[in-house]
Amino acid sequence: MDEVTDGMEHSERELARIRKRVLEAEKEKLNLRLPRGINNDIERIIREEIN
Amino acid sequence: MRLQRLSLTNFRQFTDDSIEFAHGEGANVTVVHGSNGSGKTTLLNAFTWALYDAVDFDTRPERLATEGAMAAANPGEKIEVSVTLEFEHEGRDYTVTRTAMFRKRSNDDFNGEIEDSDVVVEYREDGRATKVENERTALNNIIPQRLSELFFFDGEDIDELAGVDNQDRIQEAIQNIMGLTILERATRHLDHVAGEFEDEYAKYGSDELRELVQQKRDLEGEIDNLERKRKDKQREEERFAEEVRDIEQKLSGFDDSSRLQNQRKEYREREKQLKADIDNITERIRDEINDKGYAPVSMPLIRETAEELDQLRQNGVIPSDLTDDFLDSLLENKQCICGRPLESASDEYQTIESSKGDAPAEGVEQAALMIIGQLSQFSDDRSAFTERLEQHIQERNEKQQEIDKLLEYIDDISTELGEINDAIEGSKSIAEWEAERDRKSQAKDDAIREGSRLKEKIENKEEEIGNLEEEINDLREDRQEAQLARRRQRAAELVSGEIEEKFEDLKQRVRQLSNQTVSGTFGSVASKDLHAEITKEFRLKIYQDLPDRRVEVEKSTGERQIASLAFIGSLVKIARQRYESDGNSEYFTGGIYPLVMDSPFGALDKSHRREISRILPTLASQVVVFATDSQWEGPVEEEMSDVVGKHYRFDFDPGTGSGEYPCTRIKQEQTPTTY
Repeated sequence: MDEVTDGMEHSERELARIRKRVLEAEKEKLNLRLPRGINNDIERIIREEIN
Repeated sequence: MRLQRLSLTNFRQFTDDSIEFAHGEGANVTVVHGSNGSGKTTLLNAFTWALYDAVDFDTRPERLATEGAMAAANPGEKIEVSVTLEFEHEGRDYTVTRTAMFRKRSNDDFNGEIEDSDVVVEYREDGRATKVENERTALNNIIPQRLSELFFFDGEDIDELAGVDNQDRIQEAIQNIMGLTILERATRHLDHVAGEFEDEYAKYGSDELRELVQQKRDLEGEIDNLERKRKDKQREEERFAEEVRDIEQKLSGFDDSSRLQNQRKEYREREKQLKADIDNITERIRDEINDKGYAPVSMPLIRETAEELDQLRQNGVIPSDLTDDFLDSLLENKQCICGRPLESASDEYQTIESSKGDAPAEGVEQAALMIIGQLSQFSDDRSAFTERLEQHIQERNEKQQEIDKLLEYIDDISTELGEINDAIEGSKSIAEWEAERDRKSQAKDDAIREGSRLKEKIENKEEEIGNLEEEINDLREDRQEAQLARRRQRAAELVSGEIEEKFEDLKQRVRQLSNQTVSGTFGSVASKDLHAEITKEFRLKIYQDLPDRRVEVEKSTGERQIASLAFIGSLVKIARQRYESDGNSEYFTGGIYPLVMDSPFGALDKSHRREISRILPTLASQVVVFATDSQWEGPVEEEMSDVVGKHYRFDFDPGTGSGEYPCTRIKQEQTPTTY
């Protein structure tokens, strides 16, 4: 089932991939008190997945 | 992580030693015991030095190289210190080797100057060796340094884990291991990135869109400010609440003080009364002695006199027929008893005259007769006197004993009052403290009101944002860049929403699970009326069950140690359970961790040692225990001997002779499983 918003569709697979990659990125930096660059990492992930 | 082997070269008192770790089902305990100072803490530090280049020695922390090796070296020569840890993790066999070179600077230099240090991390997988480049990150991913104190812990400090000041560590440990931290961070970061994409959307969109997005940003900025103020008010409220609690405690100290003072006053009045009674009794005793005191004193003399008088009576001397008075009357009247006249110079006259003095004096005879007659009366008097005297004395003794007790009570109260008064600091009176309490209460209420007002403002602004978002959603932007940015923004928001839902759900489950496990582990070891609990805020607390309620208790050292052990053990257990049931979860960070403990039994009595020994092997797949000989022998050995897969003893030589230096060899002992 897809998320439909403003005519822009997001497939469940797309969202699942984003979620998986975001959580992996967070896990990589979990042990840092200040996970520098994580926002950039997440932004990059979303740009790659939705282009 | 499954430990395999630890090897040390020139590391403190270990010249060249190694330990292999037990990991079998049913024999998963490795025990190393020895005398105090033989190297238990050094072994624990070997783990953390190898993994994180971190040590925590109480004595000579700068002296890492073996003293004997440094002593044997010449100035300028270098000594290599190394620790190698071999372990298996997620199908790979890892070898971590940390080395440090120490140069001896002079003849009497035993610390050395560190010239080089390095760590090499390699793993073998499918027969192929691979060197890990980012060693620090890799090791932290396997067993995070921030949590390492929980898995490689010093039993002498462990009781502090359950103390008030370390609750944040507990909170962090649970959330970290259970994946909550990842989820919480992911939500926050995704929201930020969604905002970035919205800005991009506005950048490529129409003026109207830009205006709406700008308004939204402004509102978000205002909400951030209001949130900061609201949090300040919340902190203020908490601070005032705590101050009010402190004052109330002081006032209850005053109440206690007042009550105790009244009690002490009563006791003193009673003491005064008793002293007056004793004085009265003493007076009565004095009167008694004055009155009848002769009785016991003179009794022997009276008895002797009476016996002599009685003898006289028996002999017929008394009562005599003739008295001197009677004889005088005869001589005066010149007439004998028979009636014949008595001439002065006649024989009869002289005979009568010479008989005078033979008879006892009338008064004496009367007295003697009285004494004899009243002898029994004297005896009765003496008995009565003695009895009354004894009664008075007993009464006085009883009152004195009561006074002694009262003095004890008064002393106790004075001591207690002293302690209460110490706690009630400052020179404020009760009225002043009460006034201050009222002021703080009022300030707290003001903070609550202000917080509510701010919350309402925030909600209003959020509603405005909601309206703006609807307007933004209704806009149709034509530019492709704008549409793309919009899609990305929505994707970030949707994923954030999903993760947030998971977070809330997991938080509930984690708390329940950790609470259940900690409570169960603690309950199986501690006293039956004590319970450990992980609260909603993930704090570790201990409660005592009273007949009508449950109160949080100030934990004793032993109880803190048990609670800490129960918590750590439970964490390891939960991490293992979750790994085995849900190891593929995207956000789960748990795994199989060993439990390595230095002197976990120190503060515990024998019964608790036995209980802890019984449950420890069940908490982790691998348990490594360092203990003193006295801790090991007895209930611990009895409970654990069947599950010990590897047994070692520290053979410690303190090196007291000339040219000798402390050195420990690790000797393997036989275990039931190796017979």
